[in-house]
Amino acid sequence: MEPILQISDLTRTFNKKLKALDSVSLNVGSNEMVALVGPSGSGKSTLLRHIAGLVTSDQGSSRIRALGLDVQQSGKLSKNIRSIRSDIGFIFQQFNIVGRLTVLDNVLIGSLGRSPSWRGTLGRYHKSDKYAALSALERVGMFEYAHQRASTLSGGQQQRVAIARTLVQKPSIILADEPIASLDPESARCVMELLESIHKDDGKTVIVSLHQVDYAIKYCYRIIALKAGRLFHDGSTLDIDAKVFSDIYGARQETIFKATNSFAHGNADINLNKAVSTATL
Amino acid sequence: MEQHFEAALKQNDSRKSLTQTLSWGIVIGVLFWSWNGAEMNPLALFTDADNMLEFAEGFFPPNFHHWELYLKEMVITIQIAVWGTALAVVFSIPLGIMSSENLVPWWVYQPTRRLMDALRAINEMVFAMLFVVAVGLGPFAGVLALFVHTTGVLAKLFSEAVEAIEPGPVEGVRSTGASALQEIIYGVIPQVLPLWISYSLYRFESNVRSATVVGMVGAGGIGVILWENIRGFYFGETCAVMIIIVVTVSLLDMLSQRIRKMVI
Repeated sequence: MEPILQISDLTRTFNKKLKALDSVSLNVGSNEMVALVGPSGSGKSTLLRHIAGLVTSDQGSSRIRALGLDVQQSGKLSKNIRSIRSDIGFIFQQFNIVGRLTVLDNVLIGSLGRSPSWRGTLGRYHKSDKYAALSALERVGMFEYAHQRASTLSGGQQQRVAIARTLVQKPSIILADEPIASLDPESARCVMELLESIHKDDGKTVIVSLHQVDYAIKYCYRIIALKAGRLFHDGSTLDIDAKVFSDIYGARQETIFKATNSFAHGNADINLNKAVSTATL
Repeated sequence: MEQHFEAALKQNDSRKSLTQTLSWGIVIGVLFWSWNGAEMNPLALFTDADNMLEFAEGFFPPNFHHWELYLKEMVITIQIAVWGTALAVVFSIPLGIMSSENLVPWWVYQPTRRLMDALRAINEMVFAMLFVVAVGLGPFAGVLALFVHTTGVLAKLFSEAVEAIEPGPVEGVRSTGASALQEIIYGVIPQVLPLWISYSLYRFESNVRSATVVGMVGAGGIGVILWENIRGFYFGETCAVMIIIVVTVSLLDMLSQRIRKMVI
């Protein structure tokens, strides 16, 4: 079976010199949950934004295919990019919801890509879309806030609204670009559990970029590491070793890794939390 | 260590004083340059003081004998401003978006902006004179004059608001597979709406003021009466009309300020 996501020889140069992505090639199968790690500036965001067709690569042999369709090739977006985008959910670090709209209106935006364009443009959403939006809000625990203005919510709540918007989109692939980087630990855990549930219960492919190694190990099965725009490591979470992390981040992360990995995929949650708190110190 | 700081402060001060001297020099230079052209003659205020006093006395007491006519024409003046502003707002939405460099390519925003510059450069009075010729004497010429000029102003203000938006929410809408028009409706407009409403109210206020003068060239409203009274040396009546204008404009300014506070 064709992988759900195929990236081949993806290169993106900024300012004619700086290679944000340097011939990255990788495949992701359906129903995978992948962590994308790497230091700041290693190209994680740029990679995810290319997959969603929000930016274009350099000209040349760069190519991205998702769900058997071209997203972009040689620096040109596919002609039906909008329908492809509606099948790829994107969760942003800064949430990117519209502050002056209500929570419900924000979530309904998720149905724009699938609705007939006159409905979305005039705001005449179908009843089934409204139900879908409310049930998504219920799932992320934000139902009671449906009629509140989005800007009045806390960061963690805004991110849950953003996830509800993505749920309404009913995408097959979900990309999350450092979704927990600006959240407090409790909200971060809540968001990661939602992503895990979207992966496990709905069977979606999830790719999440993270700074926290411990979260990557706890929630994901596969870790892809980027360093200076190049694919640095790609493998299962189970057989990853401390050396990989010290090579990516420098030596300091090694101890965190040791503390965390011994509890990975176990149910020693209390111990894990302890390890998390050491990690954040 | 302290020497090091002193040197840094000194450098900062000398740079500041140089720019200050230069800018004052430019300001004073421009004022001198404009003196003769503007035929500045402050002495006339004193030598002709008696004349002016006599002239001013003619305004009092104000003559409100025809107050019903004045009020009726004042209402027409407001109605001219309402329609002039409303048409301008409707046209400024697409034109403002077409002038925003963060939404459209340069070959769209450059020509649109130049067209808006032209509409702005020509005063309402000039447009009023032209439209009086085109559609005849009366308030409709005034409406068209305000509409055209205000479109030039509002499209520029609207586009400045659009250029200051956060790109994040727009990208959020884009990532759901929305069309370009939907990106604007759901990502851009909610962000700029309070500013757009505020600018539109400002323009309405200033259009009420402008509507009082377009009448002087025959484009309807209280300006017609004002002009007839001034030409006929009926200064008592002129004063009454001016009082009505001042009161109406002040009331409308207060009202629109209220509304502005509500939307922001």
